[in-house]
Amino acid sequence: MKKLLTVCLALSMMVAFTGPVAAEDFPSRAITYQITFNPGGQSDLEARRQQPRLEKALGVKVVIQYKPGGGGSVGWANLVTQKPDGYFISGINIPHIVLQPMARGEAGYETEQLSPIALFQATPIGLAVMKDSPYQSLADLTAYAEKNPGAVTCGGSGTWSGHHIAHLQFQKMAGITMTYIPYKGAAPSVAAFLGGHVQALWANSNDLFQHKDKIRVLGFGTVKPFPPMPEVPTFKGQGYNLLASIDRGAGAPPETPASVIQVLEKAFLDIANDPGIQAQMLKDGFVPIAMGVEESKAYIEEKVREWAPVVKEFKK
Amino acid sequence: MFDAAISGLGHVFEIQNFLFLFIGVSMGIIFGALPGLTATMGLALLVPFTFTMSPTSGLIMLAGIYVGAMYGDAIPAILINTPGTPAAIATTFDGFPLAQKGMAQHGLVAAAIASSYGSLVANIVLATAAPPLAEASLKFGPPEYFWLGIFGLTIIATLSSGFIIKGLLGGAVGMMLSTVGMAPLGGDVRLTFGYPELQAGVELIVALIGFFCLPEILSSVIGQRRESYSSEKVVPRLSVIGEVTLSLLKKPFLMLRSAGIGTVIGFAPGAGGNIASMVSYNEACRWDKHPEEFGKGTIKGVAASEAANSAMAPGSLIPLLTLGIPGSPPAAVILGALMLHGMRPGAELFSVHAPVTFAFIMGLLVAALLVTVIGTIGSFIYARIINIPARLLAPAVVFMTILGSYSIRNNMLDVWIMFLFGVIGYASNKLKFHPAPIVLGLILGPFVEEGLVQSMLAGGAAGGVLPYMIFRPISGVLIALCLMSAFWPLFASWRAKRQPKKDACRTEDETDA
Amino acid sequence: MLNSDLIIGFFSLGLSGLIFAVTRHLSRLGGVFINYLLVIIVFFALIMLIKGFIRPEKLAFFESRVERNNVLIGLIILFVYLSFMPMAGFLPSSFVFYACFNLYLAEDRWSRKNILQSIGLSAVVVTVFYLMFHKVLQVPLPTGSWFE
Repeated sequence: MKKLLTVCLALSMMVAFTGPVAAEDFPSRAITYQITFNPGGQSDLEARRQQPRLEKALGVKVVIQYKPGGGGSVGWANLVTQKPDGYFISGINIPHIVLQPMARGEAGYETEQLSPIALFQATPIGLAVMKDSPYQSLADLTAYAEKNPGAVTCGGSGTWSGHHIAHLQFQKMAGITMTYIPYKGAAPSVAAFLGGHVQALWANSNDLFQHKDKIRVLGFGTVKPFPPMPEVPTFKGQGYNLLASIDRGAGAPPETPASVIQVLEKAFLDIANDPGIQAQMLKDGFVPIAMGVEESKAYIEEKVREWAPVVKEFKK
Repeated sequence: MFDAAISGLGHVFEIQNFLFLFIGVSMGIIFGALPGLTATMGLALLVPFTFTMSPTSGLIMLAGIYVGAMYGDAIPAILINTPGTPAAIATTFDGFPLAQKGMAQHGLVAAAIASSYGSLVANIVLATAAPPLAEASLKFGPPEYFWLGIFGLTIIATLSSGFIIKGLLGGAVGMMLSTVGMAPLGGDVRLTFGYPELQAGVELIVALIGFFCLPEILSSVIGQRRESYSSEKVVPRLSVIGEVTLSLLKKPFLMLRSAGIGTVIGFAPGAGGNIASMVSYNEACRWDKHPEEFGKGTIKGVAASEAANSAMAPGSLIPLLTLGIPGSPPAAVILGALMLHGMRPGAELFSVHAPVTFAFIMGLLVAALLVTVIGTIGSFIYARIINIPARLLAPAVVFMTILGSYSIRNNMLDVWIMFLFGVIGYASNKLKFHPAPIVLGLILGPFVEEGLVQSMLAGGAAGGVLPYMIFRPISGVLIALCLMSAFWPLFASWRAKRQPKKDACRTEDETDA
Repeated sequence: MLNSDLIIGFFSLGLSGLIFAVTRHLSRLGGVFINYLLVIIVFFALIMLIKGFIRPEKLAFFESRVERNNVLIGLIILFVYLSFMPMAGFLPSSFVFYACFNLYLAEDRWSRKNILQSIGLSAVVVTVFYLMFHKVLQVPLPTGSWFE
């Protein structure tokens, strides 16, 4: 019922407002940039780095607003109810926007409802153990896990999140069973790992990079080795076709006119292609990317196809 | 390290930095004092302003805000029975009764002094022993958090000498409330009744305002048509400051213990100051010679709570600065600010960036002192606030709390939830069922649940859940504390039979109605 | 005279029943804590009921009819205010609310002095807070569907 109301509301607002709104005048007033996570987090940091450049490129003020909760779902549920006139945009995160509606059933929004503007940051996911761990390589880990199903504990952030999906996919590919222990966020999972409460950790590249002196990364979910840590092998290189990362981008409400999105896309892509921004990302342990509207849409659809069977299989 | 500290101090006293610190502390006090605005929000709002400043100046200002907010939340707790932030819940237990006796200024001054003291102690610990403490804080795993949560719940036992089952029931209901939203493990969406906004759960501050602030207004201002919030007018006097300082100086153990509790709980990542103040209050009551005074308006209660919740702030920065793991939401914002200035947490902070880091730490210290000054001077002004007739003050309070509830998550549903809790809180007060255990359950529920389920998973992998959860050093200590805390009331009443004057800490019959 | 123990006991049982009904679909990990809590709550609720029959605590909910009316009217004013806010917008509804509330609490209710005072105060207080939250702190406030 609520969904029906939301769709009706969105449609009626679209009808009422796409008429008089002249796309050539966009933007003519402040734009709200919603962050679906808590202040101080990575999404917030990126947005703050982008803010001055966005304001310069678009010529209007960009107001950052926080709407955290549900791993981002509260913010995205809010996004799809906003007017599709380009004055309200939100950060988006993959795999979140794909997995949440899929796994939860009532996340408050559907993946197709979000209109992607651009994807500008990739955070590869890696699997790590402590430096003093008995596992020297991925092969060691899988060998042990095969003989002792369920005995190996892997920490990660969240359930039905990027880490969880990577864990499930890897288990399937290697034919082993390990125990996934979800934590409420990246920071608690890293803390638990450093304290020895879990034997292995699925983590984001920037966290792994930060603690690289204390840990051994067994593999990264990228195609090519992760630039700031080139000595770490990829999963692909070790025989597992596992590509796992958390990607950040920006999106707009459904039915936002293409001309409006184009303006925003250009602004975001210009920032994403700026060498200074790119260097900054690499320094912090992220991978800069610059995917526009079409590329992002295709990427999201690909991920939907890739993960739907995994979710179906493991969701009891 | 001492030379780094001295040079840090030098930075703080540069004219423009000191000005920033002063502004930061003042803003922090305001943010802490307005229910609905939190330290986290204040920090998040000012981080962009700090971009244009040098890292030193920016961080000094942030230090001011954090410390100021840890004091500011006591102001509404004392004046209108509403904790400005969840960390000040325990301050209402004795703060509001003090105000009702016309001793609001006493409470405010005690809060200022205790806050400063707590900050100072914790900062000294931070500056001297941060790295080893951080390593120790990592040893807190799922079982430890579970037992910490249970220990927090045993406070219910000592806080209610009325029928204890009522308190336990309240605690259980509170924990059930905390399950609303996304399950931390399992990812299920629970008890949202179709409202997507509830996926984030019940917002703690909204529940606080609902359970503490509204019932007071409903019962005394509206129901009984009381003229003003307190039964006697407050007349701020200079001598109060001396009085309060002297009586607190006479209680060194109380102060030190409270600050210690705050620092320790502060650096268990995630535990935060919400429970630090309550644990400290509970312990203060337990070890005092006159426990029956607690709950009826004694500055000891206010001091115990405020010292702990201010000590929590530097405590939460210990794992942040050394490991990059924020111990509380405001610490997370400060992490963001550090990263934005290109300063990565870890050994680097204390070597390469040592000047800035120590300026920040010294900033925290000086801010603590500023709080004493601003707090005591300010008490002359704030204390008079409750002299305003209730018919003017109460609507403004209601209005402000509605604004506050809305602005936390930008969502109208939160305001309705606040209204609902207000009604429930009012009804439960009338039924002699104090809402404090419910709030306690709401705060501790996530710790207990996460600790339990994660331990179940890890214990299952290790071969046995119970051994996993019990046979660990820190867990052992915590379990012992739980048992002691749970059975204390029995011991206390046995003692009371021999010396009839003693009584348990806080009678449940002492409702605000 | 109300038997507070029985009320608390029955309310808790009812709450448990409701929560039980809506949480049966949860996964093992998501539901285990809730199940434990349900058992605990029912256990305590039963104890309360037993106490309610053996040694009840009786009390009067409202001390007088006047108090009851006061509280009910106060709640109604609040309820109406919150319901109107999404429709009329934050500023207008708050203005009306503050003025009404002030009037309601005053001693000599409908005197001209009071009405003027209430409206004036309302204008000042509401405006100050609105400016502070909306402009300074940039908190978005409901604009009211009547005006969109």
